[in-house]
Amino acid sequence: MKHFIPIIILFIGIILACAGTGERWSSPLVHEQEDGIALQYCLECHDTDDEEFPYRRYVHTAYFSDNHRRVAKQSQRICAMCHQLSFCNDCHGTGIELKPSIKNQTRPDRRMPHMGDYLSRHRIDGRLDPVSCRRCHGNPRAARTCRRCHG
Amino acid sequence: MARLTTLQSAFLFVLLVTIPGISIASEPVFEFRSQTIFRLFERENQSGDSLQVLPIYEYLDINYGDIEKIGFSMHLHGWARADLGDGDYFEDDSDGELLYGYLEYTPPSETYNVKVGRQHLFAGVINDSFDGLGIVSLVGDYVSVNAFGGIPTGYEEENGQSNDGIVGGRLAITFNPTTEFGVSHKFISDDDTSVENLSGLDSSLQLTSFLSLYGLSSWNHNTEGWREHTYEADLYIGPLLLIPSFQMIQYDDFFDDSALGVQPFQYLQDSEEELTIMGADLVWQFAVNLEVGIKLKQYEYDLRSETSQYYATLLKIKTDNATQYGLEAGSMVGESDNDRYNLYRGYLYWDTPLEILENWFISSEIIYITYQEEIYGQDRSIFYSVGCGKELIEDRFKFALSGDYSTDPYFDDDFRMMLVGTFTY
Repeated sequence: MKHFIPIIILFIGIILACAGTGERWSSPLVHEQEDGIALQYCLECHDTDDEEFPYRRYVHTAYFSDNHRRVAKQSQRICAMCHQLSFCNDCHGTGIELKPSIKNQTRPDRRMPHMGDYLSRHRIDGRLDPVSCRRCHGNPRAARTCRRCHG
Repeated sequence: MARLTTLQSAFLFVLLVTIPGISIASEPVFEFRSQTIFRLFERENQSGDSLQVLPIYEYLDINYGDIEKIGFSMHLHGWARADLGDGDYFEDDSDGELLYGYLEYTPPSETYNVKVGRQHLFAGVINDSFDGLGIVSLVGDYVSVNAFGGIPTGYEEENGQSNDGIVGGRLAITFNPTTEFGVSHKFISDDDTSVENLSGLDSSLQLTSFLSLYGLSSWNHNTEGWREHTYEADLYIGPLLLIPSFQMIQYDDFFDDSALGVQPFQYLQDSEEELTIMGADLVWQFAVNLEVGIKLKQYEYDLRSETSQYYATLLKIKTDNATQYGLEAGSMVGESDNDRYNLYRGYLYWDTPLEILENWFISSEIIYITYQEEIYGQDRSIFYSVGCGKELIEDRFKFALSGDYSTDPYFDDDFRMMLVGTFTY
């Protein structure tokens, strides 16, 4: 029975989606683009004390790429205001071949995963924190890169 | 398979209900982005012969519809590769991939969103790509529902996909943009075997203007155990942002991949290890253009009774245009020598380096790593890259040329070149 719970959720979702009710604040679908404005630094335009929306949460600080999972898992819509899904797919796509630090080699400021000679370093990171490997290489197709050596 | 039949029915149901209300964008926009990548490097084959590898990649990104994303739209993204080199370096790899391709509909009320086709979803415990149907709905003032189903794209097709399936969703209660609680579930079957059956509870809670909490706990139904608990906070103290974090992972429940044969994680499944990661990121924004970061992490292994630490610091400086440069240093300190390394990194992205070089950029990166214990007889790695590029036609065409060099435990001397042309319409 428990396996039918998601199907029930799916049907509830369909029905509720079609009902389409509700009046509440939600983010715009697309952030306006202005020349010379770096959208990743929300507080250059928005107020930190804004009580309607926590802009500070989305400022792309030095370690934002390390911690973005916590906001992305709740509000993909916020990410989509500025980022096409193809931007996210550079790292998260299933079936990518070029590791993100190579595909974006001329943008070292983005601190892409697997920078430089990660092949050597991953021997240590993988032993100490295999969880971080599993998050992205956890399905058979994403693990193809691992299987070349690990079997 | 009954599950897919249900999904097909759901798909038809959604089409029947939404088509009458579909409003085609009054001024549909066609966006096209082509990225052509040439790479050149050398590799040795098993006979020790040196082969030139010369792949050419074409990445396409196509969007058609309303630029404000209201109404009906179509999105495609994928890549293909041809190797002009003299070897068979890519013989075991796919020559291309459709990363996503879906039709999307959002009504003017923005109260729901429907996607049909290959898509990727991030929500709660879900971070998956699939071919199928995805729906997001805002209901009333507080509730949102995310539901999806289809065929997962991350699983092998050796036995066909007729018995593969993915289904799940997330139900969230959003009191305001700062406070949200969600419950999510995903179920994946591969050849009729349940390979992932997870439920999760996630939360974000702004307690005060300077303190927010985030959390995710997930439960593995296949092993009937807690897979992970991850909890973090944002604490703002003037220009300081402190992000303390806590993670606890049960290997038996987290690496439950026995049905998949995914290496190298399979052997961890029955290890009964429990990993606890505690740490904090500290970001000090001296000014809009200057940031200093400090990262501390401690890994504690219950079964091995060991601890490891990672320490890092980072300096980031940006100027008024897109120029940015920085320095980073880190140290992994495991209990044994073969689990220790030091990392030093410097990088530069220099936009319009001189006035006569308008629309040019220069990039550079150097990474130097020392290993406490030699790996294949080497105790250090050096990686260096340098690149430049120019926007030749404003908002339309730009190119970037880069080269990198690495000497490390795996490659004595490895030179690689890359030329990227990006055309946007």
